[in-house]
Amino acid sequence: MKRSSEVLPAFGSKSHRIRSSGAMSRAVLQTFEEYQKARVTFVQTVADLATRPQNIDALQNAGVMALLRPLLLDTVASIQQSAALALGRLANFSEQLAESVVTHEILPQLVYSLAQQNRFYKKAAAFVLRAVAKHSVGLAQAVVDSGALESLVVCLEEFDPSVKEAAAWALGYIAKHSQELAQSVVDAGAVPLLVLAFQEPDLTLKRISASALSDVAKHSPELAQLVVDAGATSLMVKEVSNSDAPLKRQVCSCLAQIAKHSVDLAEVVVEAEIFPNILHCLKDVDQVVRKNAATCIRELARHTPDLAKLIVNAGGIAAVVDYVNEASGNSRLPGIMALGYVAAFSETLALAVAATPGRGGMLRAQTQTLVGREALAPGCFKVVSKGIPPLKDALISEPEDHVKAAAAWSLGQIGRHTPDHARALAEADVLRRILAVYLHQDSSEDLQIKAKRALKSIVQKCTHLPALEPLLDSPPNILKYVVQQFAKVLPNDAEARKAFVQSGSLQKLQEASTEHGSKLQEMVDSINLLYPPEIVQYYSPNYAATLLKKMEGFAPTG
Amino acid sequence: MAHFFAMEARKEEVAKHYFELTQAASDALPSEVKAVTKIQSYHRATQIRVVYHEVVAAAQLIQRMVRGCLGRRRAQAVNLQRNNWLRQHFFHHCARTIQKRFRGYRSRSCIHDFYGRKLYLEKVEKRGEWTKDYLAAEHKEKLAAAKVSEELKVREEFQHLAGDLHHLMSTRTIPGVYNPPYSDLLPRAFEKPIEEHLREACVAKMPASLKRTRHRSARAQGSARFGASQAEASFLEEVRPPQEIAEKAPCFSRAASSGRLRKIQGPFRSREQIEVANVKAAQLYGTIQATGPYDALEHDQRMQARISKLVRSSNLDFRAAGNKEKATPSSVHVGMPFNDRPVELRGDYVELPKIRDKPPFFTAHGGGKQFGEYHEQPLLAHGHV
Repeated sequence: MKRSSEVLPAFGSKSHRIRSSGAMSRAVLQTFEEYQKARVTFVQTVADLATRPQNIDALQNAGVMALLRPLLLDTVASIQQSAALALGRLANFSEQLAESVVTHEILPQLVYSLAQQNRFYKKAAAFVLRAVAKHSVGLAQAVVDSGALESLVVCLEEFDPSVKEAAAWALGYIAKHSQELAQSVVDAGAVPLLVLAFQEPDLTLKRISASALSDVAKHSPELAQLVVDAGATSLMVKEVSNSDAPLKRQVCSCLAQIAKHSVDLAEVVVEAEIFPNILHCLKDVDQVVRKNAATCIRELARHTPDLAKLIVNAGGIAAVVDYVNEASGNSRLPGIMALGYVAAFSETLALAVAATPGRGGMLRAQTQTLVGREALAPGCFKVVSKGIPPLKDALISEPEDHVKAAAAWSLGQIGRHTPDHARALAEADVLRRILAVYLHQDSSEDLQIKAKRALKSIVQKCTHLPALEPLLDSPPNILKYVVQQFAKVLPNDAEARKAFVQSGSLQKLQEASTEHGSKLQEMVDSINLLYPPEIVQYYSPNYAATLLKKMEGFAPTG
Repeated sequence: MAHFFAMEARKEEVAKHYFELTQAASDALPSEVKAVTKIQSYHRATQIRVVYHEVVAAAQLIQRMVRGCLGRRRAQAVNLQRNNWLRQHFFHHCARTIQKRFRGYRSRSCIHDFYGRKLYLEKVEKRGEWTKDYLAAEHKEKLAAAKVSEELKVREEFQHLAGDLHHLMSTRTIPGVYNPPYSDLLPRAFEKPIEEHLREACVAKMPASLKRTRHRSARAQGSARFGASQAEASFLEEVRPPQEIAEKAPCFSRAASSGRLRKIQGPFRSREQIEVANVKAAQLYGTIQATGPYDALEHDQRMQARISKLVRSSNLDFRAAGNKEKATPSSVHVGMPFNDRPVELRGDYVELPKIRDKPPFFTAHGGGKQFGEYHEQPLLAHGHV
């Protein structure tokens, strides 16, 4: 290449030579500048276009992935970041695009650069990893296989809270799919760093690290134990009284996921003094916080009677009953189940859940039984938690079968203990409602099974015959328990026998179709023996026809 | 003999009678035998009956005695048995009562305490009611707080938005968008017209980088008095003039040149004082020229120049021919030496020749004013200085 002085011999001064060489390199540089500007414009425009769903198909058809991939290794940092951001938005949109990110082998490049680049790139790269991992187990496994876990864990040690946030979010999305993935996140040493991140003052970081810990702990008791061992429980319990609603949602969810696995874990949560703060969350302004708090209480109550008693002693049952009263739909389910779990353990707890107001229900009956119908002492009447009406309301008015099934189950747990409990339910007209749900043609199989079991357990304890009379219309598999109760009570009570006839129940019993020789038939026969044969015959279904036949065959004498 | 013949005649009677009797006897024999038998049987029976009855009576007596004896014994035994039974019944009842009480006690203490449960349920009920009330009150508070914060947020957002919309504010000649000239009803938000919000939001603020830092007021100490002037010393001693001057930090400067850090020298007047001075100046010192438009003179000069251009025919000014102007004679005072020191009138003195360490003397009213200037109250709209 000739020098500029040889090219231009007429202008031989040194300054002119320098000026002309500068002009040439400027021209060269300008080309590069234009190329760089074009790349910047391209990548920023693609990132903007990727925010709108209507552009995604066009971008995909234009082969945007293949074009963005080399830009991840661009020399200009802002192009790398914008390319990563664009990839993240594309992968976020659909599983198909996320799969194409994986098939284009973008993940190893991202992971490689993640360790070396600045915080903006790290944020964008973590965003891409999260967007890919969120869709399915396979994609999350692909992210793990590309070695992203170690880099993400390193990002958790960064100073910038937004980088930590992005890394925690990605780890959470990886861990949420399966136990194996959660185990690999734990093996990468993420849990202590997530707990440290949770202690940061930044609210969004707290939320996301709580969510990630919840996703890790939910799979198995061992993983939950690891989260507890990292000291997460006491920190989370402190944040239960935070004023930020999204944080409370995640914290309550995480504590519920920890407590659900075993008694020991539930006791750890309780020992961290979660009560009574968790009860405040039941009355929070945010609906999801209320639901998650009810879920946490349910997971604590289900393990042992002591834990259930602890909740009752803290006034939790009244709060849960209030919550079930006010909530609707799926949100009601954890509250309903919590009441059922508490009532299942013992008569006392079932009384605490269920005694009805004003009439003094069960306690009055018990007092009569024990002291031989002496005059009641004043103050015997108790108004405890009024748990039956909201459960009955859920059974009747909820559209979802699984909520109705839970309500039927809970009512069964309340009524199965003693005749007084069963009577309380019978007086609240619950039996008829459970029967209606059982017989309804649109009820799912699970609902029918739970309704049947609840009916069976309540009826087998019920000695209040007026409440059992409406059940004489039930199908044979329920009728046999009802008739069994009648067969137990009627022989000893003359008034009840009279009322049985007067109410038309004897007639119904005769009309009930029973298989000859079955246990039901035997019980019906044993009840029939309690009455004169004329009465039984009178109420038998074919009596009119029999009388008419007799009349036809009768020849008058004289 | 008659008796014999009578008897002979009746000899057959005897035989007959005998035979009759015998016949009667033989006829009567069965019956007599029967009767005799009967009598004998009755007699025997009687005898036997007597014996029998005696025996029976004796037997009955014996039996009676024996039965009585046996009965008494039996009665005694039964009585004994009954007493035993009663005693046993009593003891059983006592034992049952004791067992009942003990079982009740043991059941209450070890198995199930009904009254304890009753008390427990009462406690649970109270606790539940208290919890419900507390949570309901807290929920209400939270809702109210959320409502207030949302309202504040909306207001702040509105204020922020209003601050950006200064271009929509009305000017003197052009009504703004929110100040329609043809309608009395102005669009309002938060109980005020939006125009007012825009005006309030458009406050010119000094950027933070240009604001002067504030000095902390240093405590007056002995060493700080060294080199302090009398004015500074008076401030150090907290001696203030009786006039109302706006509160300003005293002017200290340790450096010779502290540039922008240095306070502007005071004292300053308050806003009311400035307002009063402005009104007074407008009233007292207003001239015809001051009341006229600013550019009146210039306007007039231009007008005259224009007119003269129209009427003049030449550039040169008219000059009368004739003698030159005589030199003006000099004044009497020309040769007199100039007196450097100005004449000091009595009114110029703030105070008499300065005495060392004497605190300054301040008059109640400032001097050198016209009489009308002392009465400032009617000059202000709010009537307060």
